[in-house]
Amino acid sequence: MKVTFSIITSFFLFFLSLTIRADNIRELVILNWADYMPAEIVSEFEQQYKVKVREVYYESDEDRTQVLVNSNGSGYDLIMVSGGDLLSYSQFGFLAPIQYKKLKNYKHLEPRWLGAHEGAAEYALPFFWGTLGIAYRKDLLDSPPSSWLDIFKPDKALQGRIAMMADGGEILRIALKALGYSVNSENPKELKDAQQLALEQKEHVKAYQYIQIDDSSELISGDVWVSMVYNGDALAVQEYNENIAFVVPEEGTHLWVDYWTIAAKAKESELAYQFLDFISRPDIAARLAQSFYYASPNLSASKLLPAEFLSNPAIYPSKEVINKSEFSQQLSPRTVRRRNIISRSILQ
Amino acid sequence: MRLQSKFSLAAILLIALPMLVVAWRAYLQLHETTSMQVKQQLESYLDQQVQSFNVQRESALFALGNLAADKVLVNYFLAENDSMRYGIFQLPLLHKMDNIQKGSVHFQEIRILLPDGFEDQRIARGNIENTQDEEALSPFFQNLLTSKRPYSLYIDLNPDTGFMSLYLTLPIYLRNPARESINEKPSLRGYVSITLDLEGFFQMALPSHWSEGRLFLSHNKRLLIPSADLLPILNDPLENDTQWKNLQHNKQNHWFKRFPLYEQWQLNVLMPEHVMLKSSRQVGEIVLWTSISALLISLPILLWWLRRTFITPIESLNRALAAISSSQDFLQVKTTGNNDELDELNQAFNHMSQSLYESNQNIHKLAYYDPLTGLPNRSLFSRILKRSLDKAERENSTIALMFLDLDNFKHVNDNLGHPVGDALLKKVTQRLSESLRAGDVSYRVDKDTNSNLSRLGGDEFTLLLPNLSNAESAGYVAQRLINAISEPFVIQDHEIYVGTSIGIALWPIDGQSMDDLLAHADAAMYLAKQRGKNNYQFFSQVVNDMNQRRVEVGAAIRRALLNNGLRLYYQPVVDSRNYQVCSFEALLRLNDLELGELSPAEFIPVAEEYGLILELGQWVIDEACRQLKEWRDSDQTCRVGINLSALQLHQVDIVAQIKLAMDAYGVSSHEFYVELTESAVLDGDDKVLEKLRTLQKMGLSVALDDFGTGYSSLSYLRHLPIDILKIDRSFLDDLEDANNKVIVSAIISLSHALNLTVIAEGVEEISQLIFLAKEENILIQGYLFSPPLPAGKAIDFLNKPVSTCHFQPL
Repeated sequence: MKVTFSIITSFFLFFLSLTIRADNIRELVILNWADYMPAEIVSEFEQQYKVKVREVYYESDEDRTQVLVNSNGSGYDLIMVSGGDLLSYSQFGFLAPIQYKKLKNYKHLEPRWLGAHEGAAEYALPFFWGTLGIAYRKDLLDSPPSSWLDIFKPDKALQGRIAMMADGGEILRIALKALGYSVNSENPKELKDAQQLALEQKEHVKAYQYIQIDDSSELISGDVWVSMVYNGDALAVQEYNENIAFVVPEEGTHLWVDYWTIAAKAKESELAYQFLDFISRPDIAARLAQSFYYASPNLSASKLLPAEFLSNPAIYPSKEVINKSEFSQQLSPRTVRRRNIISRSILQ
Repeated sequence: MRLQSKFSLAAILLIALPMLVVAWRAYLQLHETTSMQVKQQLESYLDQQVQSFNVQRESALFALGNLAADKVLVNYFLAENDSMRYGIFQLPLLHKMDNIQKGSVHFQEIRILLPDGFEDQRIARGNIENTQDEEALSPFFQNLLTSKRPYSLYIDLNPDTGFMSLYLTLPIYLRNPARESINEKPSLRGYVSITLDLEGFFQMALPSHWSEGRLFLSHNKRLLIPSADLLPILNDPLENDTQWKNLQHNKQNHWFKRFPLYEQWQLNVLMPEHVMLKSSRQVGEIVLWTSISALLISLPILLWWLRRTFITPIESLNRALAAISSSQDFLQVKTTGNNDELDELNQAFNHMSQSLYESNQNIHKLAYYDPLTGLPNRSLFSRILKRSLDKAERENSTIALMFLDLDNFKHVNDNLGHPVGDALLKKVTQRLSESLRAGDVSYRVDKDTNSNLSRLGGDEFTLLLPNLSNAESAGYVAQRLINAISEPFVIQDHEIYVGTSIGIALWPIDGQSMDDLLAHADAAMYLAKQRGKNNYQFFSQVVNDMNQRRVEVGAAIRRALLNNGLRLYYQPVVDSRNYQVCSFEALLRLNDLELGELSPAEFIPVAEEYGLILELGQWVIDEACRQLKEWRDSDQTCRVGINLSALQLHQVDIVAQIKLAMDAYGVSSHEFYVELTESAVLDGDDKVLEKLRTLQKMGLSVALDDFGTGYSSLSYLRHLPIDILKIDRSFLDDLEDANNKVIVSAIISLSHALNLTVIAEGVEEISQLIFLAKEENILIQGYLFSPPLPAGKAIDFLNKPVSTCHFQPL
């Protein structure tokens, strides 16, 4: 009798809990890169606000756009957007303008990042910024790569040991950079040259796939000797193998900024503001920067970071590198169309 | 035509021709079948292509529909501005297009076109670059604008790839729900288009064994790719249906067919005939060469076999037959032992050849040898003699020919019978052969003869002695033979004595020719008989004797003329009806004191030779007339005929002579008539006939003597001035012969018809008389009634009828 009672009680409690979750606990849905938000910070937020956070991942900028188009922008509260997509997203109506005065930790952010991309000042909150560079095995290479051309026109030793991102747009940008052009070039000939360079590289590329950044990384196994990566990811893999190094090629690179945005059709808009305010706390922002080895736009957080973190050129590139590098800018529709076609052709 | 040629011709006609005809027919059939098969294969292959085309077309249409309905595409077209369109929707759209393209390997391009013809988006297989963004003026886009279909289909060369391509295009009509009322018509936003690579399943599609053929597309008989050489095919006005058509292309036979592809589109195939017939040609060539090789092998073998089996044996038989007809040698052909008809023929030939040889031998023996004695007969003797003479002439030698005749042989035959006579001849032969020494006959003229001794017939033998050294040696041989025969023969207990008389003629002195030599030997033999038998004489002795006799006879004639030694004998001529003597023939006789009685046959030729015949003739005329007067004086009237010689008729005025004699003795013309030989009349010229006619006018009768021995032309008789015909005794000698009876009856009938009196001469037998008596009105003369008689005795016949019995026997 006693046992039977217990079982019935357990079932009852189980269904009760389900009902409570569905009906009473608020849920924050975040469209984000995979592994771009540490679980302990998410759970701290959940505990503090008694909410549930659900993350939906996308694999590339294009993937994100596709997801949003398919859902017509609904179903998400927070969207992680690359700086270059801010304007078109906001124009299409995916994004809601951010009321910065709702965020009491907004004051910690460095203002210049709101001007890095069109639309950022209205719709976005900067999260990280960084560079695009080359991760390589210094023990396997005779000399470290110093130019983008080292991977676009590789030595015999490197042929077949190169990994490139599955992002035609990024490849096109660094190809432009490798040729000494601007990443924002609208010159058809320059674009064509860059496309040519990327296409010629194809036969030497082992995979158009972003490398693993844990201990199963292709760089560690030696299947790949050099890879085009974001700076933080190179440092993450370095944790597992100190032979892995990162360099920003001498031509300069594409400087990127990731922004948080609030979906125009967000159901938990208030919760979204609360989340943004939470991660903008200097201590949280410092922990985030350290977990991903990225530079944080949060000025107050920087003061909490160790000196070696702040002096790491991979995280904080020198003035020289930054001067040679560029943020992506809003381009003319015709150029966008052209670039889209080219970037598709590179990955085809 | 020879058999060999016939066989060859037959073999070629009966074997080679049918074989070639069959091979040719088979080749044609194969040709047709293969052509049909290849056509069917091509048809089914191309049907498959057409079907594949339609499947591709359908799938492309389906893909276009799918794309047109996609949200991304709708958003793309309805985007508020370009930066949204390209910034947000372009990549998803391209992604979508990529996915669609992965659906078919034949989707060469997928494009998005704007209503103004701008090629907005394009994905192409293999990153083939686009050469033209602005499509507004392209034939493709022009076609698109005029299309009345919900979708457009267009086939052309893709300027980007250079391949024949099919463009399927769907217009996109959309209403913007945000701005446009639901009642507004959707407006044209652009086009989605799929480019299908046709090369993939047309041009490349012809399998390698048909690679010489051509596959090309046409639209309503318009070539898609202008090609000068193909135009005439499509422009052929007769080319209207979809049947296979044979045509000339690039100076080669081609088969052409069009397959409806889609609406006005056709898929055309042009295939060289030699490609279609390749397999049949190969098989045909194999058949042809096999047939020819088989013929080349079998024909010579067949001909060789025919030759060996038929022609060679026949030729050898032919040769044997030719040989057998030209020679009398014993011939045999080889038998093959095959037991076939030809072998039977060979055996039959051998059999025949053997029989023929034996018959020849027999005939030869019968023809050339005397069956009784085994000696060469007269024929062979002639041959032997001829060869001997030829040889002697070449060698300039002398030959002796002996003619032997047994004495008293007739006596032996008559008294002891023929069997004894035959036995005697055998013994004589044996004895003669034995008596001849080898040297006498050392040279044999004929290899077939064992002896130079021959039997000519009866008891006559000849012996040739070639290479005679002198005449005397022939004499010695003759004497030896005489001695041998003189010994008595004992036959069937009869001791028989015969002798032999031998005449010898020498070549060349006694005669140049064979006949002369034989006649002279014969003459010499008669001389030996005359000289008492059982001796031998040389012909030279005969000549001497004859000359001497003629001189003696001539002298006897002269003596008789001078000394009245001539007499006329009279033979009565009897009328067969009453056996009354109606006339006498006067016959001259000469009885010399020294030479005795001489026959007219001996002394008349001598008289002619010595020019005494006219004198004799004159004497006969005078004497006959004188005798008639004497008989008339004793009241006996009679009629007498005298013989006139040809010489008398020619040389003397015989009419005057007769008239003188008749006048001198008062002889009337009915008492007197003349007889002349056939030759005397016929040889005579017109003068002779004129003389005879004069005699007739005088009332004298003219008789033709010895009718039947000379010319004997009955038809000629009526032209001759004659009154009496005397039938020669030779007709009456053998009345047993039915022919002779007929001839005699015919002569008598004809003579009577010509009003001639007929006299039968030489009647000796009563049977002759009986036969003649049946004939009417015929006169008979002969020993049956009387021999010629002196005038005194002859006159007795006038007073009584003659009796045959009275004068028998003689």
